[in-house]
Amino acid sequence: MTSARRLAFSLAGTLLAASACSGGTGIDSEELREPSSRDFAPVAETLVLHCGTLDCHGMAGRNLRLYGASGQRLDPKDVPGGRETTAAEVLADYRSTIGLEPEVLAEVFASRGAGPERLTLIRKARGTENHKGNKPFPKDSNGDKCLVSFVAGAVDVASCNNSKADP
Amino acid sequence: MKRWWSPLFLWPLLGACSDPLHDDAVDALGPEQAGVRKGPYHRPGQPCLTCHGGEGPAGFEMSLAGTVYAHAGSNAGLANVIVRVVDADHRTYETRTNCAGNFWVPASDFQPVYPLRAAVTYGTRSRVMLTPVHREGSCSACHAAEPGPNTPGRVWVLADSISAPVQTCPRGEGGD
Repeated sequence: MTSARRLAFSLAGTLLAASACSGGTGIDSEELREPSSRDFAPVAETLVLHCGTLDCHGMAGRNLRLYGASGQRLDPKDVPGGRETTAAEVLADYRSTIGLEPEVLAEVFASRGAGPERLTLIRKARGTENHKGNKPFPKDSNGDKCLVSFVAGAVDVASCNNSKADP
Repeated sequence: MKRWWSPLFLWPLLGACSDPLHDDAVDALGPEQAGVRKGPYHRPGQPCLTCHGGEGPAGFEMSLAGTVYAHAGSNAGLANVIVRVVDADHRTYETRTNCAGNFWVPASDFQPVYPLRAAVTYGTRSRVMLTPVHREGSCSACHAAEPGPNTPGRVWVLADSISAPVQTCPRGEGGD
């Protein structure tokens, strides 16, 4: 086989492999819907307060990575304990939260919050799955209602706000 | 035939038990400060539990430890600061800083149930930590020297307008 023919075969093989990969997981990305970011600010506030300290999810190395006034800051000029949580930090928290298990979140969201424990976020918060931070939001607590309402698509702002006073 | 050489096969297994991440964290602390031996005055501002957290190499295990400085941005540790923590079970533990500003809680005395709250008091001046501690026993793991987006800076207790007493530590104290 000539080197030109060998190169042609090699290119054809590469193109074939690339086209096979483009099929992805078979999940139609158009079908992945997630709760809106519009009402996430009170949810972010709850998460940052109870989960986002510098020794927990206020760390760059965590999957659930939170930014806010009492934890790590998004703007390198800000410091923990400084100015209030910014809109950019709320958006970063939202992206981090919905990016944990997007497919499962889409399913829970589509079923209007039914079976929220399908989400690791909820199981860890409730302490039904091993969690170094124990159970910050026991089932039916204000924090739990706040999170569950978010994944259902209708944020319970009162529960989120009430969770601020919880230990 | 006596297999005198068979224990040699165990060496790789022993090596496999060490934690390279922990080893790296210990190495990153660097050598002791000149003139200060291992003991209660050494390594102020460093994450104490890296060595004293139960994984070694220090034999004395602590559950909480850190350094309190006189002022924000100061390099001077402050003695006689009362450090109080209250854990999730509402148990309180109180200790006091030494001449280096160092304090520690022996693991045999108190194992906090997280989250815990902390405060420091010097005379009539107190500062209460803004957030609870959820898992980290070394103050300086979060309270690094320079404030930035990931750290509020060192733990300090006095406003700049209040002077701190000059203090020195005796050198050559041992203990590990």
